[in-house]
Parts: sequence; C-alpha cells; structure tokens
Amino acid sequence: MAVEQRPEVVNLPHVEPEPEHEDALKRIWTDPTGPWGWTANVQNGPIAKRFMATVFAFFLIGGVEALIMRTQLATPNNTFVTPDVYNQVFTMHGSTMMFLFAVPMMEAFAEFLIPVMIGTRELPFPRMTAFLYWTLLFGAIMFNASFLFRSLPDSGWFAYTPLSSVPYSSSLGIDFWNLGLDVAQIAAIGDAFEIIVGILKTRAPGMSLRHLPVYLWSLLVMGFSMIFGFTPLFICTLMLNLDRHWATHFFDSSAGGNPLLWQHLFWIFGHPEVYIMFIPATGLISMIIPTFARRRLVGHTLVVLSMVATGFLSFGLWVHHMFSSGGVPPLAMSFFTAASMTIAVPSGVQMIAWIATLWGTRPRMTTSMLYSIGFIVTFVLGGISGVTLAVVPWDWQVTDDYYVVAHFHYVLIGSLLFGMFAGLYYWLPKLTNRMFSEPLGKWNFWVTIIGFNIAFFPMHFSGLLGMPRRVYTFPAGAGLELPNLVSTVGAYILGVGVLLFLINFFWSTVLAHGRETGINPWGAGTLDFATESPPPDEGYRVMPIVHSLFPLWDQDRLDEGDPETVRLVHALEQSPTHYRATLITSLAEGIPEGVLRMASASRLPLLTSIGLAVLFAGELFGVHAVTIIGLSVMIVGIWLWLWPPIVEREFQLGDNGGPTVHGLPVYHTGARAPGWWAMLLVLLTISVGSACCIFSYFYLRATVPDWPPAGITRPDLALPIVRNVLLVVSLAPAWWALRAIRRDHQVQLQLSLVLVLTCGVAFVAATLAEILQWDPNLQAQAYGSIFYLLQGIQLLIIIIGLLIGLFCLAQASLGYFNRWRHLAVQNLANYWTFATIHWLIVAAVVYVSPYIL
Amino acid sequence: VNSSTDTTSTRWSLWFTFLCGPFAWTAHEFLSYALVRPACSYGVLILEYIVTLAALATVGGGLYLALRIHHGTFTDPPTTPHFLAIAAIVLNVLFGYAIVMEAIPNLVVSPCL
Repeated sequence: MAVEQRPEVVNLPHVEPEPEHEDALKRIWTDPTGPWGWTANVQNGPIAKRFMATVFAFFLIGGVEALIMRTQLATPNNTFVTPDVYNQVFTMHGSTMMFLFAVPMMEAFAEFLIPVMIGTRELPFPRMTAFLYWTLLFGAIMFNASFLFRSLPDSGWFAYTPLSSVPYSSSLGIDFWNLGLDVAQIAAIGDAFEIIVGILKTRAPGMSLRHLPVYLWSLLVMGFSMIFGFTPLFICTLMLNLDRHWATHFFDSSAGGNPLLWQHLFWIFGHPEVYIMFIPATGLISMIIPTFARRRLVGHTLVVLSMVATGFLSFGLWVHHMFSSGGVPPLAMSFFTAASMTIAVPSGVQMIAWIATLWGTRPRMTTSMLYSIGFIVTFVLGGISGVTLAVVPWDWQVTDDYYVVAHFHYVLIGSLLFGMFAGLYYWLPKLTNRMFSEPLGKWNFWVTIIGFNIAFFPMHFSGLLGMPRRVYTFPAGAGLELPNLVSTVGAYILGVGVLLFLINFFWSTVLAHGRETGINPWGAGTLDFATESPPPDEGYRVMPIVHSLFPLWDQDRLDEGDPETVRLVHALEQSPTHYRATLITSLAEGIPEGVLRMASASRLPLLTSIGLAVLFAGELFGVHAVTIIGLSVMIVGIWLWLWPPIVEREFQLGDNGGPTVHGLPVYHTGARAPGWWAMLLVLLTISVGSACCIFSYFYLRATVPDWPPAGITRPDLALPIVRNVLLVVSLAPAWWALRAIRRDHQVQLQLSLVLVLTCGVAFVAATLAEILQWDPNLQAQAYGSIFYLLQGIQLLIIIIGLLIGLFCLAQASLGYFNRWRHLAVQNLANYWTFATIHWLIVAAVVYVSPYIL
Repeated sequence: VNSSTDTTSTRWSLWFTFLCGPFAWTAHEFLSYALVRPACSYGVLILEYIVTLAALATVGGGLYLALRIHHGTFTDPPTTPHFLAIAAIVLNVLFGYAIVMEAIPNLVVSPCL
C-alpha cells in the first residue's frame, strides 16, 4: 500500500517581528507577576498549568485511596480498614477521580490548546478562565474538607437515594459531597461556554469548519455534552440538598416522591460523563497519531461525525445503568439495549480510522505514541465488555460485581489516563519548554500498562465468580484469593508507573534536565506547534491565516492569503490596540468580522469565586447569614467584573460612524458577538435544567394515582393569570429598549428599561402574594416539592433578569450605550423573552396540567 | 465559497439536515419509552409504529435534502457547505440505522411484560 508520508522536519513559516512592535504587544498582554500578581492572572497558559497541577494532585489523592482499597482486598477477611472506612474510601475515590480529575483534566487541556490551535491570542472570556480555576479549586477543597471534619461521604460516587437521604446518611458527609461537587459542576458548565464560543467565534482567518482540527471538534462535542450532562446533575444534587435540609420530598417514597427519579437524573448525567472524558481523549489521539505516522488522519470527516454521533447517542443510553433497578418495562429496556449497541458503531469508526492511518507507515514510537496505541487496545477491550453489558440478561447477571468494575476501569483508564499521558508527553513540553526523558517515559508506559492489566484483567474473573463490588472483604475458599491478590499487586505496579511519570516530570522539567523543546519538536502539522515554547502571552504576534487542515505541512507561510486579510494581521501586529484584543471570525468560514476587546488581569474572578464558595459553605453548615454574605460578594464581584472599562468609554467619544480598528468594527451585537453566544448558552443551560424539573414533575405525576394528592386543592388561577399578563406585557418595553438604542434615543431607552424593571418587580410581588395563598399541605408532599421548585426557578430567573436590567439602566443613565454599542441591552431583551416563554411553560405545567392529566 | 451556494437558505437547510437525524432519533427514543405503558394499557402498539415511521420520515427528508445540497455544492476544492452536506448525509444514515435498531424490539417484545 502506497503511503504518502510527510517529511520528518517541518520548518516554521515564521514572521519575525520588529522589536518595538513586540514590546508594545508584550506590554499589553503581560499579566502582573509575583505571588500577588498570581491572584490576578487571567492568561490561559499559566491557568492551564495550574489546572493541570491541581487536578493531578487530586488524581494522586484518588490513587492513594485506590491503593487503600486494594490493600484491604489483598487477602480474604482482611482488617486493614474497617467497613465504614472502606465505604468512605471507595466513595471518595470514585468521586475524586470522576469529578475532580477526569473532566477537569480534559478542561485543562482545552484551556491550554484552544487558543494556540485555533490561532488566536487568548480564550474569549479570560476572566471566566480564572474564575473557573478558582471555583474548581474551592469546590475541591470544600469536598475534601470532609476529611478535616471526619465526616466523609460513604454512599458511593453516585449517591443513590434513599441511602444518601437523611434517614440513612445523617452526617455532613453527603453535604460535603453534594455542595463541593455543585461548585465543581459550575466550573465545568462555565468551561463549556468558554470552549464553544472560543472555537466557534475566534478562530484564525481562513480556518473554516472543514479546516478545524479533530481535537477542536471533540471539544465542541464535549462542551455541549457538559451543558446537557452537568445541568441534570446540578438539578438532582439540588433536589437532594432540598430533601436533606429544606423538608422537600423528591426522593421520599412515603410522601409521593420516588428514589428512582434520582437514578434517572443522575444517569442522564452519568453516562454522557464517560463520553465527556472519552471524546476529547479521542481528539488528543487523533492529533498525535497523524504526527508520528507522518500522515493525515484517514477519514477525517467520518471521525468528526463519529464524535458528533457519539455525543448525541451518549444521552440515550442512561437506562442501561438501571436495568436491574426495576421500574423499567422490558420493551423499554430493549430500546436502550439497541442504543447502547449502536454507539459501538461510531466508536468503531474512530478505531478503524486510527488503524488505517497507521497502516503501512513506520510511526515514531515515542512515549506519546506508545500511550496512543495503549489507548486503542485498552479501550477496545473495555468497549467489548461494555457491549456485553448492554444485553439485559447479562447485565442482570453481572450487575454490581467486579466484572463491571473491570469494564469501566478499562474504559476510563484506557481512554482518560492513557489519553492524558499521551497528551502530556506530546504537549507538556510545549507548555514548559522542556522535553521529557524518552527512556524514562518508555519505562513509565510499560510499567503503567503492565500494572494496569495485572490489576484489572483478573477482576473480570473475580466478578464472574460472584465477588460483589463495594463490599469491604470477601470470604476464603470461594476462589477469589488469587485474582484479588494479583489485582492488588497490579495496582501497586500501576502506582509505580504513575510515580515514574512524576520522576520524569521533575527530572526533565522542574530540574530542567530535559532539552529545550523548540518550536515544533515532533514535526506536527497543526497550529499548536507554530509558536514558541511556551507560547507567549500574546499567543501569536502575527495572527496566522489558515488554508488547510495541516497548515504547517501544507502552507509555505502562515501570513499569506487574500490581501485584505494579510494587511489586517500585519496591522494588528504593527499597530496593536492599546487594550487586549483578538479577531472575531465567522462561524462557518472563519472570515474576519470584527475585533474583540478582551479583559485584562483582575482579582475580581477570585473575589467572585470566593463569594460562591462562601455561599455554598453557608448552605453546608446551615448558616444563612453566611450564605447571604457569599451571595452579596458574588453579585458585587460579577457587577464590577462586567462593568465596561475606561478604554471602551473612550471609544464612545466623537464617533459619528461605527468605531473601527484597522477597518473592522469594535462593537458587536447579534450572532457576531461572543457575548451574544455566551448568553445563548446560558439560556440553553437554564432550559436543560428546567426540562429536567419538568421531566421530574411528570415522572412523579406518573407514579402516583392522584395529582394533586388527596387533601391538596388545585392551585387558584387568578394570580397566575396576573403574572402571565405582567410578563407578556413587559416584553414590549424590553424590545422597545433595543429599538430605541439602535436609533440613539437615550431617554426612550431609559424609560423602557424602567418599565421592564417595574413589570419584573410587580411579577415578584405577585409571586410573593400568591405564596401566601398556597395550601400549607403542599409542604408535606412531593407534589408540593416539585411545585415549589419550578416556581422557585422562575422567581430566580426573574430576579437575575432584574439585576441585568439594573445593570443596563445604570450604564444607560451614564450614557454608555449608543447605536453601535448595546449588546447588554440586546442580551436583556433576549433574556427577558426567554424568561417570559419559560414562565408560560412552567405555568402550563403547574397550573393547567393538573386539570388535564 | 461559491456565492450561489452561500445563501442564507442553504445555510439554514444545512444546519437543519445536519441536526435532523440526531433530533429524530432523540424524539424517537424518548417517545418510544414514554409510550410503552400506554401501549400496554390500551393495547395499541400502533402508537410505537407511528412514532418510528415519523422518525424515519424525518430522517429520510433530511437525507434527501442533504443529498440535494451535496450535489449543488460540489466544487474543487471542496467548500464548507459541501463538507457539512456530507456530514448531514452520514449522520442521517447513522441515526436512521439507530431508529431501525430501536424499532425492532416492538416487533418481538410485548409492551406488557
């Protein structure tokens, strides 16, 4: 088979800057230094390093917990730890690995790689990047603070109710788990916004969707999956918290609730969670294999579509985690069996594409490449055992035994851990400017993969022999001694493998024994290897122009293209804006549309994140004053964070036409503006959360005969009709405000905003008046719980809308808006429209449906 | 980009056909699941068949539209609309297959089990 391979060395078509231009760019883009400056840093590179270091530390903690478990299970009837401690350790291990290591590590890769790979200067919302890091850190600390209080969660990483409800888990352990992870989930959802908007709107000129590297496609799928996956988790953990501390009954079967509702909501998150980790890991592998095979990825389009299809299909499999829970008819289970098997098709397409890419080549067997091959082999093994678990009778046979443990470790370690190591060996030198030791790396790989297989392959057999998971010991004489002892030995070998990575990292990078990385050490073809190592704060001095999927392989220079674009990228380098800025490009074709002003270094993200952590800590300990303080700090932090800086106000002066930089507009509205996309994603997230609540409403409705339950009167419709009218009427001034500012009518704008706020305040007042009329018996039933929840979410949506309205009014009264600059007003109009439609749906569900269903 | 293909209607059609298959499959799975108990209670499995036929019709429509756009956007070198058209064709075929896979149990498993 003839194979067209790329040359070994790829020269960088680099543009040398004039020194004075370089100084100007550096002055604009450099963050404060030193420990105090560290707290204000918003650059993606340093934050990605922190992200990686932090989540790797949690990975080590989770690993130590795994070794404690394996030590306990080395011999039958062992007493290394007590049953209670064992319960706590396996809960902490699973939760730490899933929530604090796996997904955040993929987020860390994304934060580092997106700007350099799409050829831009920075992620679109730099302060958000900093906020997400601090939020994850505080959430993880709060979660692990359960060690200090000697109150660890012990209900397993999926915390099934009623085991995690108060009657069976009355300690604070579950609350640490619940609220700590809620904070971490906020970080994940925020990261999704950053990823999606960054990739869709700030790519290099010419980088159309067909020139988008596979890894970036995988991140798009990951981003949307995080919105659709983490939001249900947020809702179900919110419900659990309300059940535990606010006397609701979502999961209390004695009051019309249903514990299976938890399982549905959790697994609607939990199964896609696997793909949230797996898909970006496949993206990493799809970048690494072509580089070392020196050949383009075979079937690029099919690989991309496989990722998209896998992302969709992953949300249709959750019931296969509940085959043995009861409550799902066999015919319905068959649908999920079919879907679970179908997902093997797109996964298989990716495997075949990688093998076809390698076929007939002589790839460079670097450590990164070895891990990529380890990824393929291990994931295929885990995938095959996964297909067997889609078969209902087999699933019933092996549920909750070590066969399942073996399966998901083959999937997770195979994809995530090996994908991570492949990625770290490939890209970490870029971030640190020090190459790893290859001999030590190969030792690291072989010890890790051998240890992994010794640890987990025997678990298939211990499972088939009937060993249940989550039990702290096993009896002698059941044939389980040998496989368990072998697994324990393997776990320690795996631990040595991870230790070898750490040694390699410290030797090569911290002690700087590794050689300098240079620009493109592997001869890669994509933009991530087009800048210095580590990439400078400004990313690219001259922003690249892309004409190919592998621009470093196919293009002679990175600054060639149509004359207008060439002029633009050079102008941005030679005469940079006096604030941080990058290009906005069109969604499909990557055509420059405008200049995006980016936020500079700030401590407001840290302040906001502290507010969020304090809010949740207050909730954790039931101190409402602390909760209110945290909330206030958050609101102030966000307000100051979003308040337009002086430089934008300067633009407003004296512009009769639209203000431009190098011929491109600087103010944007509609689909051109990244802020418009961010608002769209916020609304999408709220929609997903509300859809989960409405699903819960009808799920609870379907499991009881009477709705509302006997003794509770149907809600009166008078005040809800008033609330309907108020919101529908308020739509008119919301859109008038936008119309007014598009015509530069400042007074009309302010009057319209005041009208919107008045209607919103009246809606809140009507809601409070209605609450006084609600049947007090509502509090005793799950019907009342879901009724309250939907009403509460609507109230929250309106209150947030009021804050946005106030924010707009404050700016409007200072004359900050004009016909060019009014994105905040447009976002308010969109938000208010959404809030109204949301209310009409909620009202139909809670007020009308009881009369019909 | 070929200006004749880069029209707003083509762009919307492309995104519609791109998402047609996934959304048809999602609706099919959720509705099929929700209709199992009514199918048993009222003895009308035909509801399940109607859902499947509607989902397949949607996918078929998406596939037809994608094929038309594919023929209309073929240029050398290929354009982004052409890339998206190929993507839409493949996605519609894959999700059509998934719908058929999910419909088969309706033929052999009773909803009342």
